[in-house]
Amino acid sequence: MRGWKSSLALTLGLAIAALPGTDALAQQKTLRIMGYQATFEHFRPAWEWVLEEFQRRHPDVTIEDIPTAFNETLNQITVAVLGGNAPDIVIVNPVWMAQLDSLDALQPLSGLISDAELAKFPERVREDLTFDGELKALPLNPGPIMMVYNRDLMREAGLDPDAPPKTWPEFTTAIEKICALPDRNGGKVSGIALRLDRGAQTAQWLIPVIWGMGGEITDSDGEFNFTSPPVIEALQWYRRLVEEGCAQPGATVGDTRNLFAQGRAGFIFEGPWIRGLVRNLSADQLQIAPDGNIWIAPMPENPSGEVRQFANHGVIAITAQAKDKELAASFVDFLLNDPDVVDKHFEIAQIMATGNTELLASGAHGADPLTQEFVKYLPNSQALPMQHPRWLAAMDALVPHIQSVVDGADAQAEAEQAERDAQRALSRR
Amino acid sequence: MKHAGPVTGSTAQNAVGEGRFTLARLAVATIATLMMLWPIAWMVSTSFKRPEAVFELPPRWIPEAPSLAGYEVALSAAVLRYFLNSVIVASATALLATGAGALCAYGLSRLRFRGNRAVMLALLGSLGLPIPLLMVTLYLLFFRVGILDSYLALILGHTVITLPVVVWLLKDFFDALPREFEEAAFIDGASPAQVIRLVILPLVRPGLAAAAIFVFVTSWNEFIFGMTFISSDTYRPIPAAMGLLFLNEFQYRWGDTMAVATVVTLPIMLLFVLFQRYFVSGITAGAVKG
Repeated sequence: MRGWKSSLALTLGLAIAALPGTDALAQQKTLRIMGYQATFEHFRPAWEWVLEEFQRRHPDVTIEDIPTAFNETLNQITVAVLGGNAPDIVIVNPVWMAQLDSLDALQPLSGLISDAELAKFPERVREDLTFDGELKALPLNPGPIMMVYNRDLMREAGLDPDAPPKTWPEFTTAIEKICALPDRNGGKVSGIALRLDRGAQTAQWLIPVIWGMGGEITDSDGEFNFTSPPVIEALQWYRRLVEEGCAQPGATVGDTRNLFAQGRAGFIFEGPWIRGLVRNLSADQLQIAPDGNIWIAPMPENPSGEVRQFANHGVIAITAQAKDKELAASFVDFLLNDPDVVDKHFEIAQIMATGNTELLASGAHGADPLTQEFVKYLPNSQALPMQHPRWLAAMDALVPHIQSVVDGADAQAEAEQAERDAQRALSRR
Repeated sequence: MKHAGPVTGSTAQNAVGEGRFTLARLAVATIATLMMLWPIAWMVSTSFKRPEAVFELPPRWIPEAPSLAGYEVALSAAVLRYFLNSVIVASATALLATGAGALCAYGLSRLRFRGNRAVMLALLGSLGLPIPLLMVTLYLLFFRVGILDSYLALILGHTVITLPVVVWLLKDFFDALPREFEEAAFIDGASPAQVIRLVILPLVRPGLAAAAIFVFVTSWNEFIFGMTFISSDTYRPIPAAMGLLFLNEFQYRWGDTMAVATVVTLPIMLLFVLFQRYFVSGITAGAVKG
């Protein structure tokens, strides 16, 4: 009996001695990051490299990466925040930020990252990410939305692929000429691949068209407005293209991208991720280059001659519940402001890997012509026409009315009802 | 005893009418079956396609250059791990929810107490609770007790959402059982636990099987809890894993998605094939009591 007890004591003693020192355990820190970055196939290798590199440079830090499906990210973060178990860092879309900010989920960045570093990010982009006067996120994957066009179809339609349309009437004419081309790859050629499904993005992506018609989605008091003449004009423009067979009714994001990658759409509105999309979806059949099959141009100017770019950034934020905010800030700084990290990230992912304008103009970003086209229009791009926690619900309320107009309903009457529905959504608590 | 008689005009007409009715029923059943099989067949067809062939026009049922790449993904170690997680969670949930539900239903069926009906209505009402509301509450609870990111979180979460249906389903079975069975067992000296285990449960086996299959399928398909309560690959069930692997903005691997979907549908199909008799008799017996 005594022998058994002695053996147990010896085993326990050895086990305790073999454990790491309590100092080492106390010093080991965990950084929890939640976001969709690792779920996008063409982002994943770069993201994994970033996490490994940070841990290599900080051996006392372990990163716990919590992947989320893109469309579920806001829900996942919201539940974690409400449950008091928020991660230290989140990667989100700017349209979700107002909801997170209304839960006091986000930490102001001033004081954590130097003002000099913060000033390197475009002012217009910082404005989108500023809530109650505090900057609460920075662009990780800036996403100015440009007019992406198929140069081959332009040429075939008798248009000059080196002179993409600059005004909205020119743009409409080009769409109509392309959609008159003969069928190919088993289907009709669409002039433009527009998002027209039931998702909130259908309304969100109508905004650049409204801007193109010279309108706004808010009035001079900042209130939601969906009945101005440019809004009606934008709705009628959608209907005209669908009636002419130049855009597919009900097309989802995936449909539009597949259509474009099959060489069956003249235009699509997309961001810097277009390179990975076209490469994957066309199985490398289409090349993006100034003299290739696909190239990009700024959005057509509005009647006042102004070019306004819509944006759909991927942004990074530190949560208010972060246990070690300095550590979280050091990760954000490492990711967005370290030239070596930014260059390597870009080289692997082939997508803009920071919003830091100095780094975007130099190194690997500076040497890439496609990126430089996007960089040119980044300072002018706007992601959020209105910062409201229920913005997405308002967008969602607009969609059935947009679809009704596309199906032939009266644009004015639908816009009025859409405005009422959206205002009701915005006023709900 | 019936005697064969001469076939009259009206019986011949009846036979023709019945024949037509049977044909019509067969036609409707065939069309309905085809409509249900159509997406499954398309899923299987797509699982053999390369990415560029998925949106090919006109669509082809049999791909020109079939590929097994999707099945390499579906049978990879990572996906099999998610598969195993789902098997563990769904099986444990089926056991727990059916066991707890049976005891609860038996009590509600046999014990007369004030509020008996209110309990049943409360269970029914709980089905109306929005899942997001339930999700936040459960998340908070599981976080406080430290079981987030574990099988237990999913098993308990899935039990919560399936238990009311199990209780309602099984209570009808217990109500339909004559009390004389239990009384006879008690007279023979059986304890209450023995009565339940040896007499009652074997008699409601079709109901238990139906309830267990319902719970298993619900747990197997459940997505939101799997996504929210689990943060690591170690415990992630297959629906959440599919969400992370494939359902994103830049999705293009439809062949892989459909191959995984085909593989994960097999256990459910197998379950129905093996227990179809119990399931159908369980559901119908529960539906017509008395």
